[in-house]
Order: sequence, then structure tokens, then C-alpha cells
Amino acid sequence: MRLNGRPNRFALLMMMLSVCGLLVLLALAGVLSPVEAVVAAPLNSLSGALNRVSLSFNQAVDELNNLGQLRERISELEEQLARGQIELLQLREAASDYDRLVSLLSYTSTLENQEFLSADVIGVDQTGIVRSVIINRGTRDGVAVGMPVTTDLGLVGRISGVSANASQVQLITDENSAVSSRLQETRADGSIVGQASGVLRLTFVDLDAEIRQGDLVITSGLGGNFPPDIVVGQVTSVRQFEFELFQEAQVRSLIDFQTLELVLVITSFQPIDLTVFDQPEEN
Amino acid sequence: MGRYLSLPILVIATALSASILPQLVSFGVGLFGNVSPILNNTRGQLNLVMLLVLAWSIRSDLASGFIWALVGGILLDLYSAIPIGASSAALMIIVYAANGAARQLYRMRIVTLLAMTLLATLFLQVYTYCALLLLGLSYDIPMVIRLVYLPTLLYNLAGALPIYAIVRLMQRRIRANSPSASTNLSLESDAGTA
Repeated sequence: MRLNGRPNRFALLMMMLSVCGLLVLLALAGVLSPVEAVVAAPLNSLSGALNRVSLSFNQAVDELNNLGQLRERISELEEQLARGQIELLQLREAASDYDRLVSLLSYTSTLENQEFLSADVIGVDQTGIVRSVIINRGTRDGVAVGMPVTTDLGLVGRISGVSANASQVQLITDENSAVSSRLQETRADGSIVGQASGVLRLTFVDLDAEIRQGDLVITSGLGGNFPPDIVVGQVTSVRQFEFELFQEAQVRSLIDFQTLELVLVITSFQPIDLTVFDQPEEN
Repeated sequence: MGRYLSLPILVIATALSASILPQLVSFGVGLFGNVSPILNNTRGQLNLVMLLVLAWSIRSDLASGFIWALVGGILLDLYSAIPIGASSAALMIIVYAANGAARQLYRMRIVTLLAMTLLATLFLQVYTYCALLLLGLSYDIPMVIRLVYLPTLLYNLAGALPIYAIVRLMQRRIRANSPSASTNLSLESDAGTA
């Protein structure tokens, strides 16, 4: 390979290119495949290891680059979440109100010849002794003292005080409340009075009358304070003593007075003042 | 000594080209893509093996350069569609031309190095395209030029100088540590690259 004492560069090139050509031919013939596999194995391992390092590095760099954007995005999403939560609460409240109104509407539609005024419970008596609630309807809305207050589950009480835009409702569970009632099945009359424990008591029921556990108690309309046939509650237990003139029963209202939110005032009912008949006749 | 170094160095270079370099390129494109729209959505990358072989062949004897070209070409072909030996042939032609040109120069200038890189890159790209055509694989030339060749050319031009500097430093160390340093030096001065 030397020409005039120097390496023949072109001859060397030709020789190396011939080697390459041979390699190409062998590769195309598939002879080099096993060799390729052996040679490529460590190279692939090294590339794989470097690739993993590189990917980790790239991910870390990407995360660092995106940190500011991610923070902004997080604050945006938090804001959206807060707005969404508020909206969700409002929608849930609306749905809840809707359900209650639907129930009340279906209830009012069953009672013909009655006019109702829906009202929100806006407060409870602060003394803790008197069992009453405050509603957001008053004289401006046509509410008057003595009007019965109900829900679709039964009798709530009666208007005991009224202002221009709010009213106080004496609950039937109040100790000073008395509602003329009767048993739906036996039609036996009695009176529902409240107790300190919050449980209703059906009193003044004739000893002859049959009271069964589970019987529904409804208003009788006697006394003119409440319209008849409004559900008051359900008999849970009966107490009867031979030495007493009347028998009694424990009654449970279907209404949860602790969570009362929406009520109906029966505005078409005018309580009758029977005291006029108690006054002595003049002359 | 330099001939034997070709294997580990080029193996590492090939592994880097197959793993980290594409990531770095995409990272760089992500960072500077807005500055240079030509880099957006491209697939080109720095041809590290070719630059190493070129840089080595400028400052070494021809036989050593051929060894680097052979090893580098085989490693390149392990990760490409063309058969083993094809890239080696192209790199050998590049080595032959670069070594021959360097023999004629008193000192290597940056412009000369960049010109060599430019020509070598273009030659390798054309050669590779022809090899693929011969294998029955055809590609849309304008798209290949825009997406692969031009970006690769840019990366190679950018990477030529630092790689040349590293290789030169390596060669100096090898010569200094070589027991037959004086012989090598005389041989390489004979190659006209002193």
C-alpha cells in the first residue's frame, strides 16, 4: 500500500470501501443478523439506561418550566371549584325547596275550598320554653291571628302573633296548645295537647272509645279553631285507667319540628270566637 | 491508542444519539422554537457520530480515521434502516476527503471546519437518501429537507466546534501519554495537520 514511500491513500480507501461493500452484502443476505443482535445488545442496554435518565430529567425540567403555569392553573381551578360549590349548594337548596313545594302543592290540591299561603320559617322562639316558630308572612300578606298552619305532613300549629311581615306560630307541641281532634277510624273525639317533652298527648277520649296503636289522629273542627280533617299525628301508645274519666294516648306528629323550613298558612279559614256564647245575656 | 478509543467513544456517542440527544433537541426546540420557527415540529438532530469521526480524522492519520469511520458507521447502521456497512462507506469517503483537505492546510480555521461539516452533512444526507431509495423506501424530498435535513445541518454546524475542541484535546492527551509520542507526532506531521 505504499507508493513512493507514502501510503497510497486511495488504495486504502478502496480497500476499506470494499470491506464496507462486503459488509453490506452480508447484511443484505442476513448473514450478519446474529452478529448484529450480539453487538446491539449492550448498546441497547446503554441507550435504554440513558433514555430513562433523559426522560426523568426532561420530566423534571418540564415540571419546573410548568410550575408557574401549574400554580396559576391551580388557583384558577380552585376559584372555579369554589364557584361551582356555591352554585351546587344553591342548586341543592333550590331542588330541596322545589321538592317541598311539590309536596305542598300536591297536598293543597287535595284540600278543596282552602286557600293557602306558603311561608318560610325564619326563626324559632329564643326562650326555649315556648314552642313556636317565626314565619316570614304577616298582615301585609293577609295573615291573621288564629289561622292554622300546616304542611303536607299535617298540622303545625296556629298563628299566635302577627306583625306586618312576620308571624309567630304556636306549635301543637307547645304545652299551651290544645287542638280538638278525633281518631280517624273510630271517630272518637279528644283533644291534642303539647307536653314539655315535645310529645303530643291525646286526652279527653271516652273510656268506651277504642284507641289502637297506629291510628291516625285528625282535627275534628270542634271549637272553631282549626278546620276539620287535618292530620295531627299517629297513636303510639294508649294509657287507660278505670278510675279515670277519660283515657289518654301518646301521639307522634309526622312532622319533624326541629327541621321545619316551609309551611302553609290556611288563609281562608277564619277561627270562630265562641266566647260570645259564654257572655251572659243582657236584660 | 486512538484507534482503540474509537469503540467506547462511538458506542457512547451512538447511545447518546439514540437516547438523550432527541430529548435535548426537543427540549431545545421547546425553549427556542419561537425564536427559530424552522425548528418547530422538526425531526432532525445532531449527528454526533459523524461529527466525532470528522473531527478525529482531521487531526489523525488516515488509517485511524478509517477505523473510526468503520466503527461509527456500523454503530449508526445498528440504529437505522440501511444495512450494516453502508454508513461506514459514506463516513470513509468523508474521512478521506476531510483528511486530504486538512493535509493541505497550515492550520484549521473555524470557517474551514464549518465548511467541512456542511459538506460532510450534505453528503451523508444525500448518501442516506439514495441508500433508502435503493432499498425501496422513498420519501417526500421537500418535507425531508425541511423537517430533517435542514435542522440536522443547523445542529451539526452548531455542534461542530465544541466537538472538534473536545476531540483535539483528547488527541493531545493521547499523544502526550503515548510512549511513542515522537513517532506518532512525526507521522501526523507527515499527514500535514501540525
